[in-house]
Amino acid sequence: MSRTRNRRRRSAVAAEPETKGATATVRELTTAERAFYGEGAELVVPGSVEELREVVRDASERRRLIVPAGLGRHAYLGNPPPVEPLVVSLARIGRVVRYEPADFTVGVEAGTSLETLGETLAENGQEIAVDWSLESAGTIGGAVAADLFGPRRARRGTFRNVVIGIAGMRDDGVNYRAGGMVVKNVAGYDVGKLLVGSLGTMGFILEINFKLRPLPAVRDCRLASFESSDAAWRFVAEVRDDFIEPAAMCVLDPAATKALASAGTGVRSRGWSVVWLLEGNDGTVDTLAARLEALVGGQATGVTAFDGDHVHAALEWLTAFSEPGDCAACDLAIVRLAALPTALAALERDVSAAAGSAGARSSVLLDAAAGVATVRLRGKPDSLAEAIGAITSSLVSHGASGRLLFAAPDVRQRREYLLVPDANARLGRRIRQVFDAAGIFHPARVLGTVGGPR
Amino acid sequence: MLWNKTRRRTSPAAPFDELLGWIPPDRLLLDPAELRVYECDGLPLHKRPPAAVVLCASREDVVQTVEWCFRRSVPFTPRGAGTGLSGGATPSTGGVIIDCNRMRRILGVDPENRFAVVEPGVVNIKVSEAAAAHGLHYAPDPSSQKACTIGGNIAENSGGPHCLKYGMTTDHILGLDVVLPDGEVVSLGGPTADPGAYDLVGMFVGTEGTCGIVVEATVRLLPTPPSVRTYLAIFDAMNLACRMVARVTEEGILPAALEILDQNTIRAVEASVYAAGYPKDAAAVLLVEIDGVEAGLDEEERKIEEIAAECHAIELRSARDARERLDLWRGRKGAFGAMGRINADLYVLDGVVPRTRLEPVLGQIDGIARKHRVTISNVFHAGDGNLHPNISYDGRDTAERERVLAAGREILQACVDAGGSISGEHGIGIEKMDFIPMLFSEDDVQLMKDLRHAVDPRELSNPEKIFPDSRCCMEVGKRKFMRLSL
Repeated sequence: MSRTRNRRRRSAVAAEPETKGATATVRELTTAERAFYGEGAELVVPGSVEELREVVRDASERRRLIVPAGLGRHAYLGNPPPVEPLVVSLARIGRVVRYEPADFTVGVEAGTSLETLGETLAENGQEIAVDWSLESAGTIGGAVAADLFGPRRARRGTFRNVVIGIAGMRDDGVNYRAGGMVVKNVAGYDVGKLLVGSLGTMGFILEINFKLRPLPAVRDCRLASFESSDAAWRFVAEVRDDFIEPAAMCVLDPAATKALASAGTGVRSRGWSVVWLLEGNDGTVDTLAARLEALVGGQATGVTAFDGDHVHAALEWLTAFSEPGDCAACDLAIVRLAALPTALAALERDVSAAAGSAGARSSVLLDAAAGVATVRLRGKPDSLAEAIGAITSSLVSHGASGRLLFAAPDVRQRREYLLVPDANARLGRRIRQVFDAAGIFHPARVLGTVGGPR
Repeated sequence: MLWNKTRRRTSPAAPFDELLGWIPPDRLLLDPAELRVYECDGLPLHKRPPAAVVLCASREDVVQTVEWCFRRSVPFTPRGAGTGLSGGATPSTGGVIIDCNRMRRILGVDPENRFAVVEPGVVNIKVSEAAAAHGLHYAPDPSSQKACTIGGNIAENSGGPHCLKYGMTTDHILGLDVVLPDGEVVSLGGPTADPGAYDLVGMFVGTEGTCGIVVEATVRLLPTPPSVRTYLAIFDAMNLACRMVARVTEEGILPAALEILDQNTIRAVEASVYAAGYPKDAAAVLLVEIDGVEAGLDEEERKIEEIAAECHAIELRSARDARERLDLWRGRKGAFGAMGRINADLYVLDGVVPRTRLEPVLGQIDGIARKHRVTISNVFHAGDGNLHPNISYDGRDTAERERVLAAGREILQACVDAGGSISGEHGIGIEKMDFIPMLFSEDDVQLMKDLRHAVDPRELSNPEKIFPDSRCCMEVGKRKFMRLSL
């Protein structure tokens, strides 16, 4: 059986907190940022919270639209701004402030790079149990604001489950803190929950404290091929009914399977497939692997066990499926849909049909445990816009919701970020205004309309 | 002194008989003798009777009552079983108690998608009982789970021994129907992932009734672990028990629960109906529970045995079956009840420290107990550093009561000084609102107050809770909401 085994610190003595200094690199606007915010957008990279406060107060006084940013890796998320904004990057405010391995907590500034953070934690056999793709590795503040997650969502949660404390800055330049540095804490309101996924519309995230988990000792990742969609979903239902709890379980349509096969993962399968990940100690993983092997036995046309680097490649691919990567091409759109896990199969059928009838090609990755479907669409802008519209129309009948994660600019201007309007938009706006009474943090990015005067 | 800070919001002559328009007479309590039952929750240090109690039996009862309160500017306080330990359900001045205990229907269980829809008055353990037939359970398990309600758990973001592995209430609430303080009903979240723009469910959980009343909740169900093993490690020194806690987590084991009882607690338990066979001369016992796939537990058990030996445990007992496991847990679950044997009243503290600071902070607590001549028994969620120093006292002794309050404050300050917090799972309520400045600056508190005012600008929903000085709330008007001209 092929496995990946993670390193684990054995010493009972806590490692010294590692503090990495802020990088002095002053970055430039990325291509994605220029495409999303407009060529006239400007960039500032404050070197301290005090400098940031000056920028925010000035913007507030002049009512200038500003966009909190890290390295600009997720500049495509949300509705585009109606005017070209000032992009304010926290990339220079990026220290690991406190790391207590023995307490399984870490506190970092928002500009800390995901790469640095991941490496620091891995040295002690620990992780923030949320997946982010290496391809999009920006800053931790950006990852939290974008609410990144990957295939382990159903079992490990999202950032909302691991943020234990947060510090931020409101539109008047006033800082605040909520939560703390302990893993269990109900003192005061849980402000951190609001900031996860807020896309910067609730002001700046300055610092974040996380609770950590030990890296799983062993990982086992496999792909089973099936002759049909029905066969794949039958297997998924059997796994669920058998109370086997893989760390991840995803269904891939034939297009997605093909893409996975060409991503250096060692997969040679075609058609429908199911990828699962097991995590734990040897005994746990052995038992679950045997149970899954028995279940999949007569149903699959083949099973591939990922080995070594292929495990990481496969997980990276699954995580990065919702990222546009370097593709600035006009022929890509990505939508993410959420439904009950038992509604996913029917939703996928309707979505694929809708895409096809609009003349778009689709590939679909379905997180069968979390009830999340990510759809990559390819086609001409008109086809993409029509496909997104048709997909949106199909959501209500499945009790589903959706977000337009990425689209080329002229498609983006025709479709809103939230595919199904938020029934609580009024309440959401009232709460958002608490952080941004002046309305400078691109209020319409999450809850708003597109196609403004830009 | 506490009450002098608060503002009266309603005339004592509020026409409560108007409530009879939709509430039958037998569900509207106005008799002073009946109202005394509602003068406090599980925190007896602060008492005040409500002006009225409405026993709501439906969502419509709650909506109409809240609308009436809004029209009449009458403050209201939601209440479940009244088991809260921070005074969160203590009535406000001239206020109405909106009792949700009769809203106790489990509206549905979806075993395939693993959630249940329940009314707020459903008792915590009833959710797991309803889900058990499907091999599922509801994970948050406060010690009072046989009495406390889901609505109260949501208000307080309750924990319990097993939240070490499975998370707090907030991690298990998928959706909420909430009656806002003006009577509007909103449906937040739901059983699917991220249905709304912002995580309003996450914000609402733990607001202690200050943002409205839950009338329906969608809760996550988890598969019941296929195997569970429970151990009792016995120590002749508390510091060794704390060391074992640190070593277990260092080894990468994530137990379902890690609970410590000190000698005072052990003796109280063993003298009570909750006797679990803990050795009365032990300085501390540590309950360790692991769960998961049977084959995976062998490896963890080996490590636990090694660590127990390394930490000089006198003995490591292992529950051989479900009955023995329940026996071991009976003492822990009944610990608070058993403390009634020590004295008439009990003040349960709820500080949190980083788990590596357990040992020094417990030492400080010992010193504080001696300094103030109070009896403290410790029973706590050691795995996540959540201390429960329990001060036994006689509430009729005014001088002792003052010493208890002073000791409590010093203990919580010690927790904060160690990098911790003043509440891990009980909430701030009335009990700790004056301690909030230990943790948060004025700017921090102002943000939270502003959030509250975005939902409840008139402070009608459970006022005089959480925030240290409710008069400051008027400052919210200073922030002008402007629209960006573009």
